[in-house]
Amino acid sequence: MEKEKQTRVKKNGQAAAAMMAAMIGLLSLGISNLASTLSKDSKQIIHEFGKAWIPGADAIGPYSGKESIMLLGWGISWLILYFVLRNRQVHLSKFTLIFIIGMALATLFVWSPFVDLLK
Amino acid sequence: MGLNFEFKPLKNYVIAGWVALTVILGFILGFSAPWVELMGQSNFSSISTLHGIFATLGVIIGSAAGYLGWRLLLGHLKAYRDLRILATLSSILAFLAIFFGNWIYKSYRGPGGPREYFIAQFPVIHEVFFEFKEHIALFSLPIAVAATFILWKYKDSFAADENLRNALGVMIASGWTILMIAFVLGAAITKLMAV
Repeated sequence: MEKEKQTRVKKNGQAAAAMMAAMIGLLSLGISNLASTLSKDSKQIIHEFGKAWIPGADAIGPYSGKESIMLLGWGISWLILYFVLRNRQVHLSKFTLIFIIGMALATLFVWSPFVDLLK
Repeated sequence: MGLNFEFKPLKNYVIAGWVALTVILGFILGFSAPWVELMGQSNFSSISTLHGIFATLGVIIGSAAGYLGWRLLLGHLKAYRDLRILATLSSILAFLAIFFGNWIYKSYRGPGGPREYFIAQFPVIHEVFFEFKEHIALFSLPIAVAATFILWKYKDSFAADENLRNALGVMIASGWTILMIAFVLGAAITKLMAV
């Protein structure tokens, strides 16, 4: 009985959902950083978004909005993906590869020398 | 059986002794040490100290989790329970470090703060290293929480599911790398000018 419990394999859809949602959160942050750096209007909108709920967001600038967008992107996508994938068995290796690529892109989008190239 | 009977009370005495000694030393240290001198005169000294403590603890716990994650990736890990606890603590510490980091960011950007100093003296430090550090540090929270969720949800599946082990190993390795980047850059920037 104990052995059975140890080797039980659950459907991996919920793991894929958690991974993808984390990646979408990181990409949301990266893309909002790009938008904030490349457009003054976007910067203002992103800052207003942070000011809407973070105390003292005036003092930390558009960073407040970027982290809010990250949290929203992460939370909403997790909710959606959880219900879409929860009972499915997926190719987790493909999702892992997508996670690595998404994270690498998000890292690039917050690396200032790269963002400066797009200005 | 006899060995267990004698060993268990001894272990409990040792743990109780450690706890008592820590509490006594904590009280002596807390009431006698010159904390203001240690932490500095800034209005943000306590907050930045907490940020530093949580970030340092995050790196220590995250490194232990990173080692277990590496063993998981190689298929050698048996201590899944330890990894679950470390990942949970890493998620909590990531949240606390980010929360207090947001707080001291106000001081960083404030009048006469490090931002003004860096832009005037070393603009590249602010534009490249600080900005990058502030953003990439946020990556640690979603990754740690997702890894923690997977560890708890699939705690009985890892032994038989190599793809799950690989996915989690990749996430833990990524999370650890991000922690180290954020910590090293944060420590270096603080050395140049603290808030």
